Amino acid sequence: MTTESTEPSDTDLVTRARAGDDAAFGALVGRYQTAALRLAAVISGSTDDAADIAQEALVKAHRSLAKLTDPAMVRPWMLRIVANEAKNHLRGRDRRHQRELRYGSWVVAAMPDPEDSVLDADDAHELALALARIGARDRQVLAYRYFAGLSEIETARALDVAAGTVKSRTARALARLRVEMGRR
Amino acid sequence: MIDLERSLTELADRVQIPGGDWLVGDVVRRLGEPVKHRQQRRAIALAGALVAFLAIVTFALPGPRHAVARWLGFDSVRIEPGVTVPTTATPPTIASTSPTSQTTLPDTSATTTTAVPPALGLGPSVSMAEAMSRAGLPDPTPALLGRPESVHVVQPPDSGQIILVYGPSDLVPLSSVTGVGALVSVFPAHIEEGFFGKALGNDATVRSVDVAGADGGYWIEGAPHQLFFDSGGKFEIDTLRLATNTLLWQRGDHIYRLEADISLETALRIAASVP
Repeated sequence: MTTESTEPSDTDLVTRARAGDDAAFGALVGRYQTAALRLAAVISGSTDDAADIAQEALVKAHRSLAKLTDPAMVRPWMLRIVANEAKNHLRGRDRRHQRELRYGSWVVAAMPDPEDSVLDADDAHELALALARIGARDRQVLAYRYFAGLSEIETARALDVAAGTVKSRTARALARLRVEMGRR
Repeated sequence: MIDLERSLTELADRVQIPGGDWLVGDVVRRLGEPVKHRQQRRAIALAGALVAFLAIVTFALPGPRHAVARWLGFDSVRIEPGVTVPTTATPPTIASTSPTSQTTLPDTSATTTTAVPPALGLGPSVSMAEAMSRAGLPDPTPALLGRPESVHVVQPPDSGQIILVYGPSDLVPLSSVTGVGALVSVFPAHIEEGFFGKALGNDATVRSVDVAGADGGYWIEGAPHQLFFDSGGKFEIDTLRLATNTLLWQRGDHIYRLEADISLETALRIAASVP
């Protein structure tokens, strides 16, 4: 026996939100808030500012809903706005040592079962610092793929590039991150 | 060896982000807010007038242009809407040249002495070998265009960019904007995706294109526009010069740029012939 999902689709929620249903937009925010917060944190480097950045971006997204051309792709569209807001948040004050201070101050929770973890506390700290040291362009593609959990297609939509470009950029970004990890 | 992909996913799961639990409520509460109050609008209008004044100063005077552009924080490769600048009815030109065979790369060892339109502000011509040595950049010569009329190293960025100037030919007609057939350049920078759409004016279009051998490319067509960039985190502004149709493509840490009054198809053929 199969059961039909009663969850409205993203397209339904976008349609309702455009018609003035704020709760529908709230439901969209609820679906993607974790991705939005993580994206804001990893692009800005500031976990303290991530919630403010995400909030500002999502309010802007609501005001721009009329510009969304493909409601089914609302997730990468919203997250792109979050990423832009995070970049704007940094504008003009993103020196390397400041970046390292921000990423180096990340608080990382312990895993309930250490057996399931591939990162001990030192590794997590070094990985966050390595993220601070790679270029913003590399950090952005990794943020979409691993922190926001976007697929290659969705990342391509968010970055406005071909899907093949996402694959190659991700591979290069990972290689550069590995180099930075090796410098510890 | 550490499994980086799994490590990143785990780090994303474990990083603590304060204040996130109230995000839905905080956002929904703000949806009914007026965008800006009257007082804020007045302040914004004043700020807008200030920015407009700065823009006029920026684009009118070379010194303030650099200073203000830095202050405004232009970053990466950005395309800005074209601005009105005086243009001559008949742009200065350089001598026509026939395209070289695709299989024969130009002899770039000699310094050329061809006159380049002064409006381009490219400075003296140098040999390709000197240009590559000074800027630490690869030879951007497209085999399809062959030997350039002249080779220049200009700033920004501080490390220099190489610009090749081509006279009009069957492949690249005389441009009324640049006064030459084509400009080919290479510089160290990265294309920032997503910026173009909101930065270009209504009369210009930009689209993502696939360029052979490149990590990504953009084709900008229509109204004249300007190109700003930085390198290595230091904000810079390019020489004030309007561009014609432009193909930008990224290879590694370098951006290549081809400017000419040509179709996308021709531009892609030329770009594919850069070794």
